[in-house]
Amino acid sequence: MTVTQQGVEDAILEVLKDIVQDWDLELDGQMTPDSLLVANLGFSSVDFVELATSIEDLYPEVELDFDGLIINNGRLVEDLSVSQVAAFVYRRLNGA
Amino acid sequence: MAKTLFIGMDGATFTVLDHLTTDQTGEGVAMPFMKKFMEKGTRAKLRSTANPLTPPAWVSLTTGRHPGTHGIYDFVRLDDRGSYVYYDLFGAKNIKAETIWSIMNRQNRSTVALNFTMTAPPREGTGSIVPGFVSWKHLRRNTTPPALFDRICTIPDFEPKELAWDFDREKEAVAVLSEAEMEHWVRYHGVREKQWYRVAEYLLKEDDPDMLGVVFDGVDKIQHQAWQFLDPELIPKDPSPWEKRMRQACVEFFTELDQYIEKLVTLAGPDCQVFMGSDHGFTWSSEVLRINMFLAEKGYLFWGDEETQKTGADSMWSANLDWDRTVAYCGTPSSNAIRIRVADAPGKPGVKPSEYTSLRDQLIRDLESLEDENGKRLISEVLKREDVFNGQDMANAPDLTLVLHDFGFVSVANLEPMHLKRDPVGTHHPNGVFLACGPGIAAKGEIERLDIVDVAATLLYSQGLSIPSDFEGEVPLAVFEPDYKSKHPVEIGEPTLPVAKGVARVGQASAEPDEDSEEYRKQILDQLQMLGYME
Repeated sequence: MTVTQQGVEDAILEVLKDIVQDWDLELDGQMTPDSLLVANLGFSSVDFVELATSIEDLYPEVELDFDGLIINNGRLVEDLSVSQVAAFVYRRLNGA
Repeated sequence: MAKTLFIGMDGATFTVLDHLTTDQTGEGVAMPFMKKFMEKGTRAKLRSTANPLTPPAWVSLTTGRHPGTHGIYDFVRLDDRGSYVYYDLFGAKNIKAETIWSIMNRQNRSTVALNFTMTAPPREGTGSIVPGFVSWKHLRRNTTPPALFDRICTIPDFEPKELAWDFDREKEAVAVLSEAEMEHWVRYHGVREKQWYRVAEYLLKEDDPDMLGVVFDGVDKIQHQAWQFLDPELIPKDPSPWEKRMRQACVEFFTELDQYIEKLVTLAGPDCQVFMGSDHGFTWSSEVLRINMFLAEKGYLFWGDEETQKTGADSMWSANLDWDRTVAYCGTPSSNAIRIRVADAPGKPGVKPSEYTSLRDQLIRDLESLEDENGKRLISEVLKREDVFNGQDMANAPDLTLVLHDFGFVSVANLEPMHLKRDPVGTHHPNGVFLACGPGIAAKGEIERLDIVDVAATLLYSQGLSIPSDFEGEVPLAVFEPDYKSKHPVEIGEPTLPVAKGVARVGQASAEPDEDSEEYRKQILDQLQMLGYME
């Protein structure tokens, strides 16, 4: 499967825009790769489940195992940027 | 007009329905339509799943299969990664059996399914679905077909925030509420039920589906918090002003629900067969059993350090245990289940495979020995997974499922004491309800108890479809009139179709597949083969 990290990032940004379209968010400017899920988009754990499920639907051929992203040294990470999510997905798609 | 209408009432029990369809307290009959429905049709207790819980039970009701086959056991899915256990939510993607929505649609029956849990994320070929157990923030993306969400938004006064789950509020369902909060809780669910009723009304009128199913889940939510105002045994004899208002609010909720049901049945028309059902029943519990405290006392479980507990206690992603040493634990209160960890390699946490059976037998003996101060057993049954979850997914099922003597849910908290008494609260009972009325349906009154997996077969039969040979339920013939049965013999047909893994979200293509990739191609071929397109 041929994917680029930029392609993954673009796809995740599109999913995020679709997810938050009814949330009445007051974003300062556009959503970008640097946007933080919790701080900027107001994500809760349930919202992350929706995002993870949507990304899994984008790439059904790979087990993404998102716990590797949100648990670090046995602790939950406090926040994630879009680019961090994209980088993780890109690594998983490439077998890392 | 619709040929089949299914009204789901999450947690409905005849304890309450019988009470509200008679005038036992001088308040009048709160549910007059339900009373007539019962008099003209047939009813039965409906045996729920081994753990009578919303996700496994509704999935059993809509697949005709037990959890050991369809793979849904709880709200939360536990994935043991050795050094920790990952918590995720069960969803439609985890269901390993074909649903009636898929079976009907591939045989050209149009369907509408409203507020059924585990119908998100949407799968293809399942008709019109507005899912339950989805936050309003994600309702648009999980409604199918994609244009349906905008259509229901045109219903006057439609408000997604009122209709869908609010997870912050739902946490209250098992929490302790103040008097004012509890009163508000009952009213809040009345508003939600009205929203679902109006969506059902709109789609019955506009789309005229062959079958429409709608679940009213406020019944369960209210009974959890306000059971003492609905169970005839517990209704206050000398109520305070607040207790009077609570009783009135509960009765009003059911009266309004009765009116919604009457309007839907009337709208569906006289040729429609109407079925009602619940995923489980209700009763009350007045004890707390902190099961992980017991497992710790017996040396099966070890708590994590204080710092770990602080990060894990309020989190759905991890639990506050010492995963290197714990061999058996209960992951969630709703599961009423114990999972035994088996070391899949030397050095991994858990019991050695060769010692699994002896450890489990000892654990069962320990659980059965758990008694209150009067020598009464606290756990009435300890169910082994091969006895209640025997099916293709049994390896993922909990090792042991507990039935507490008062049907309560266990606590997983790390608090003393391990067992204590409390005021009565509503809890799930294995016996739910089944009711039927309409053309071809007998007026038999109460018949023998049915199994929740019989409902799917009944709904397919109502649609004139054959029953898949691998269904685990059957059509309850006693429900139907002799003439109807002779004209419509039950036919057993082809088995259900396998459920393809990784089916794309409706209206959303997979991203950047490389069509030359051998691996990707193989998966497509496998999917087509599973769908019957290739030998």
